[in-house]
Amino acid sequence: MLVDIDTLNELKEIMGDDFDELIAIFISDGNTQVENLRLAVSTSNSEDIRRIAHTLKGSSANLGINTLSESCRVLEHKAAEDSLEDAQELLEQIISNYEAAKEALEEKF
Amino acid sequence: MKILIVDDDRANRLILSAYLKKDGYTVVAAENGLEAIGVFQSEGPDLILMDVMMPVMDGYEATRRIKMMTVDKFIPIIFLTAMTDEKALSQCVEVGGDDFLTKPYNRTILKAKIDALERVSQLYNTVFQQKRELISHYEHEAKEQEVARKVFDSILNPGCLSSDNIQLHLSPMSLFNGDVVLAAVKPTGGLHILFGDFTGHGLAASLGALPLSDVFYSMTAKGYSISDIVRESNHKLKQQLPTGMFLAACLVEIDTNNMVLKYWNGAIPGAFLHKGDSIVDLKSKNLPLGILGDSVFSDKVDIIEIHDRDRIILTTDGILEAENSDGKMFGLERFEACLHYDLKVASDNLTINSLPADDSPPSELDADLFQHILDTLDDFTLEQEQTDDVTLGVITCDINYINQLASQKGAYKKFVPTHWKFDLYFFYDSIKSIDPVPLVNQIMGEIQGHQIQQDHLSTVLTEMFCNSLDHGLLELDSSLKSTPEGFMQFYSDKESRLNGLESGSILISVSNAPNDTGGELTIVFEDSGKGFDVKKMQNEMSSVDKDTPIKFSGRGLSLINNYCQSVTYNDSGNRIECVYSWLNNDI
Amino acid sequence: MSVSCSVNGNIVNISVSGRFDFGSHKDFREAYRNAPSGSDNEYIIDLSATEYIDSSALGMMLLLREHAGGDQSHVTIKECRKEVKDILVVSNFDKLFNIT
Repeated sequence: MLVDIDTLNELKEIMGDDFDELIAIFISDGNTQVENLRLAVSTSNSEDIRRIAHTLKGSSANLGINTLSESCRVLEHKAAEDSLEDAQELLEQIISNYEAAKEALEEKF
Repeated sequence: MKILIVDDDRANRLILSAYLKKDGYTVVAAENGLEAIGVFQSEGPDLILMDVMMPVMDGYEATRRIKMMTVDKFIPIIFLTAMTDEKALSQCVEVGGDDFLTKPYNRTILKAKIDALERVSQLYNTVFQQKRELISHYEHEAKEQEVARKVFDSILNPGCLSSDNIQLHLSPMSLFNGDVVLAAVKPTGGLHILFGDFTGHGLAASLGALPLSDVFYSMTAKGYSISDIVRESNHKLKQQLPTGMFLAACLVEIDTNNMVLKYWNGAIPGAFLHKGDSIVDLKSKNLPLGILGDSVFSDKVDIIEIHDRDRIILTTDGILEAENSDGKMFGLERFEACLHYDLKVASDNLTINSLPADDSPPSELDADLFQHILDTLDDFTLEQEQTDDVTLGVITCDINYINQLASQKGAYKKFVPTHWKFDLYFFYDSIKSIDPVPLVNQIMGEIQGHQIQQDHLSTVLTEMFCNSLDHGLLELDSSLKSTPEGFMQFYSDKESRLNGLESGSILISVSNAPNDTGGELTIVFEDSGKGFDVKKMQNEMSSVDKDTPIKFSGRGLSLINNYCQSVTYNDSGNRIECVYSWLNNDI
Repeated sequence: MSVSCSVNGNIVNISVSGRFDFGSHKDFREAYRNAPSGSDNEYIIDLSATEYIDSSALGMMLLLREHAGGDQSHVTIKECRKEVKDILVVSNFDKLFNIT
């Protein structure tokens, strides 16, 4: 499942008015992180890749965006081992997951 | 409760903050480790949620620094982590993290962990608080004990414990000692020593030493014998110590004038006289002090002849009961063997070197004995824990030294009966507030020493004073005392008249004429009252015989008659003169 | 100074501690006033804790003797210290009381 609707509903209930801000922050920070990640992969900077993937993994998990979180986890793991053969492929996957999640968030919330 | 969130991710902070606020916590936040330290110092949070990977300063370093800043307070830190590898987790523990929370956050788990750590931190902080209080109490107590000990030592040691002929080992189990050793020079020369062991040890046991040292030093200074001192000590301790607390004690007098040792031993097991070629056990024949009432208490002392440089060895049961690693006690046999060992050495010395020269330092042999006992004890017990106060004293009867001590201290003062006279006037207002009799007694003591302060004299003075006051100044009628009701009336009249007295005086005049055996005191009481019919009173006194009913009055005058050489009145009956003979035992 | 009194059947025990002088007259009187009177009773004056007595104390003991039945009374003065006993004997109290 692309996004966990239950998690998001719970967050919305708890956060009330702050929920819209949370979504806005996630999307705006997410855009920056995806761009930074793209740059890091193009320069094969495994340390930056690892750090950005880690952050994006955490924040997406907290919003219940599990597919994105999972692909970030795989990339973080590879970067930590300095094996960047699949990095470009994983980056494409992350971007596609991120775009889909963004769409779903904007549509549903 | 205030919680600090440290995370570089805005979304995460927002979510956590929302969760925590929902549960009623106050929330502050920081974006990295360095900022966290600043916020920690300014906000003083009770708990910290700490992300690991952050720019500027990571969570490990921030945690390490914050933990170092909070050694006396417990601030729980929960690591927020998406990491699952063991190495990273163990690093969290290493720097001082108290728990982990993995992303994605579960609100229920977060709340449960915070609750648990809040309880732990309350517990910790209570313990820290108690520890701080304990430390402060302990320091306070230690200071007080130190001060008390100084006071205590100065009270217990005005005597001559530090004299060269006294070797003393005192090893108290605690700051205060249940063992007590007192020594003082007699005013007439000679030495008094008291060696005691209170039941128990420590502060409680040592408290009884205060009244005891008071009695010992003041009575020794006034020239009382050890019989008198031991009786008074028993009286005072019985009166002041709680039941079940008492003092095993040995009192010793080294009488350098007559070359004898006088001793009274109540339950001190280790008391010996080492005469160089033989050893005498100064056996206990009495119960400890503070148990028996005055009437059954025996102050009988034993007397042994002594020679120059005989030694007195005294020890409390601490040495005798000292245990070695096998649980065996040192015991009296080993102790006595120590004394005999020295006996042998002494006689060997005599045969090899002939007699030691008279001017050789007296402490040489004695130091051997003293040290030998302590060394033997050390060899026996080795590293065993001490369970009782261990006290050992070796006193050398160095006659010259002791006499020298007395004259050095200025204590040696033989009272020779001399000529003197004093007049004291007491006016009505001073009579209301002071009793002149002890004062007169004290003055005579200062002039002539304690020998003159005798009970009979005290009785004579008291009765003479009552006579002058009752019949002279207060004009009370003795015949009132012929019935029980009148007797009571007499004393209640006495009280009210004394309170209302607004004029009058009593002159007390005492003079001494020395003679071969002591002296003859002439005591005069003269009051400003009207006096009484002397002839009538004397007739009445002489007519008292078996046939007359027993009178409740007139006994004061007959006591005076009994104790005095002569009693005369002037015609007007306001002046009574008595002649009292006293014996000087110093002669 | 303190005076205490205990009654056990027909035995009355009075003890005086400290100085026994005219200052004790009220307390001493109070101590035995409510105790049974007459020669059927045995009175014991315990002076073991008495440090000192004067002539008024002697008077008080004579009053007690009256209360206890006068010449028929049974009053014992017990356990007095040497100085106190001395005064009792000098005053011939050994003829009026049983002094032990």
